[in-house]
Amino acid sequence: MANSNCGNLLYQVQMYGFVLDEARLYLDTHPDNQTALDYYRKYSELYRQAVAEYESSCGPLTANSASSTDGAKWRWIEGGWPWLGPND
Amino acid sequence: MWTYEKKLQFPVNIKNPNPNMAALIISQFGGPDGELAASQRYLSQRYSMPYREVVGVLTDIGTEELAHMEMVCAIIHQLTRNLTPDEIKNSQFAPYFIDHTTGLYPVAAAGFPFNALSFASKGDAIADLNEDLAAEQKARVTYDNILRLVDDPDVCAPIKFLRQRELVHYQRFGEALREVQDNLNYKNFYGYNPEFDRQK
Repeated sequence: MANSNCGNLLYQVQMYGFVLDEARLYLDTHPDNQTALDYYRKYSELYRQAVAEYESSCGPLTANSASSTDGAKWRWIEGGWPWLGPND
Repeated sequence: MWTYEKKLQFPVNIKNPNPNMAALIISQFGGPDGELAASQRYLSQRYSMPYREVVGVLTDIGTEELAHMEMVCAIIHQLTRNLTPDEIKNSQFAPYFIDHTTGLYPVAAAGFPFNALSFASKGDAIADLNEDLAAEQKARVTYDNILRLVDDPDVCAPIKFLRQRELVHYQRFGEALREVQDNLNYKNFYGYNPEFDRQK
């Protein structure tokens, strides 16, 4: 990880990402629920911000964003992969 | 298509390797009610599903199951890091180690490899959704059984998260089944195949 705060920034991404995972399933079976739609929009924006903050200092979360973060090197394969633990 | 995101759905940070726990938990990778079977069950069933809400549920839950498979694999990987031959020899992980070292291969806790016969894709909305409801409960029972035998809090936290997701998926599949039944023709009281035997 590029800096010591990356663990916290990733946790924010995971938290908002999970909110969307959960709300998405609910919306699949309740597509007209306005409260759920507003909730999804609100957390989509928070997720987008968390991803931007993480990627600007810790590296790309998707290969699509790997090219825009740094011009000199392919950063997708840098850093750890998500399954690596404290002993890797 | 799918795009990979370089994160787990829920964090897995296991400090203490434990080959015995790995030998049990691997069932949720390649066992009969594991996450590989779950993902392939839902992602296979969606093509013949006649209602768009239900296709959405199958697509999104099927995708989430891929993320769960990655979490289970992360747990196994971290439980089998830096083991000595003696630690392996004295564990239930030894037979698996002979065939796969510490690589990830989908098998059940009882040792048999992943079998596509552990899930069904019947091309019938009622049959498939009842299969899915049962599958979520069977996976929940397997996680309950794992939690009965595993006591490391680093391992229990992601296992409890995965168990909880089975409950939510069961709820969504129940709503999907109601959606299908609401759409059945009134003459189709016994729930014959709504996508193939269309009743005009």
